[in-house]
Amino acid sequence: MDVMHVEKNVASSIVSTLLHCGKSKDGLNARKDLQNLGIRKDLHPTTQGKRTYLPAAPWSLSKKEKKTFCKRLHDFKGLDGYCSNIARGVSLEDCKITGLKSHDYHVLMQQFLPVALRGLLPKGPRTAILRLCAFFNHLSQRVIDREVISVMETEIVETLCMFERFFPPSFFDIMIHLTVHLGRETRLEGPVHFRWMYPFERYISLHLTLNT
Amino acid sequence: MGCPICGKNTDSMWLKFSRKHVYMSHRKGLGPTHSYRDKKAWFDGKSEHGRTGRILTGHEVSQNLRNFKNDFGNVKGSGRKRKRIVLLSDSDDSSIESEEEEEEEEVEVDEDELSRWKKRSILFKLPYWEVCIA
Repeated sequence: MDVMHVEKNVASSIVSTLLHCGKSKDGLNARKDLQNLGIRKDLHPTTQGKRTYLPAAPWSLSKKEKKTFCKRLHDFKGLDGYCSNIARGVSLEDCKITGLKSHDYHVLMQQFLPVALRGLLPKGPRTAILRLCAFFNHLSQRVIDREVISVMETEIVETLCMFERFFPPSFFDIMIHLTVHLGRETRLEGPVHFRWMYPFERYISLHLTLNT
Repeated sequence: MGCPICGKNTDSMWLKFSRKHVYMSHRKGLGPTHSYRDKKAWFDGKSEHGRTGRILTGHEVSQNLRNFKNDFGNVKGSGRKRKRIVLLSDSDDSSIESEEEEEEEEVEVDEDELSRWKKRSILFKLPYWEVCIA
């Protein structure tokens, strides 16, 4: 399975859920599902008069926190060739992140997200996200230790349970599930950078430029 | 449905309002005495005692894909072509069933399994490939 796409999709769904932009997994329908399942009563939508209110959830950042988060990402300055200019995709006015490429999400997942989220969310969801980031970081190391990988496999299951505890059910699409199997594949097939899709995606883009 | 590794044992749930399948119940993968298993209020209100389903072996995958037909190219929106493809696959299935009466159950599973796959990779033509995909 391809680590690049899994990582990209997971990272983008986390970021968009935190910031309520793009393909956010939260919303009226997600809350209605909670109501339908009869779990987590404090998050159910409440109706007052004509308006429906969604109570603040453990995964949502407040306006001030969103500002800090975006500011931290915006202000990052990296070495030449480390990653593309992430500040281009971050808009400080409306606190949204758009148009990042898959490698930007890779960098985000590997190193930025833990730093950018420091002290922002409630402790539970923050730890869950940090653990997921640490998993992906260990996974894409150039040198891997089989024993460490098998420990990671049990840990990622626990991490996903932490996600289940704090995040809405609509968050758990198939890409989140696939992270469970990544550890096993790495154990059997070796380091990730030999079999991920980055070189092929570059190659496709080369052909596209040649054709036009 | 979604996961090519878990096969038909994938745990899924239909969300009525979000209108999509979600894949939760990761608690099944925890150790049998893990404290999260009994936390009802944290999760879906039930304690979890199930175990994860067995994942597909390479042999099973190649068995499932044995009768898979690749049809390349865009299928145009006109209804006629679509119908013909459906008819073809129907006749294929019936011929398989008549050939292998013993494996009737497996063929039924196959249709369900095949819906998950888009293409049978040429690597499956290699005689040793089912040993390689662990």
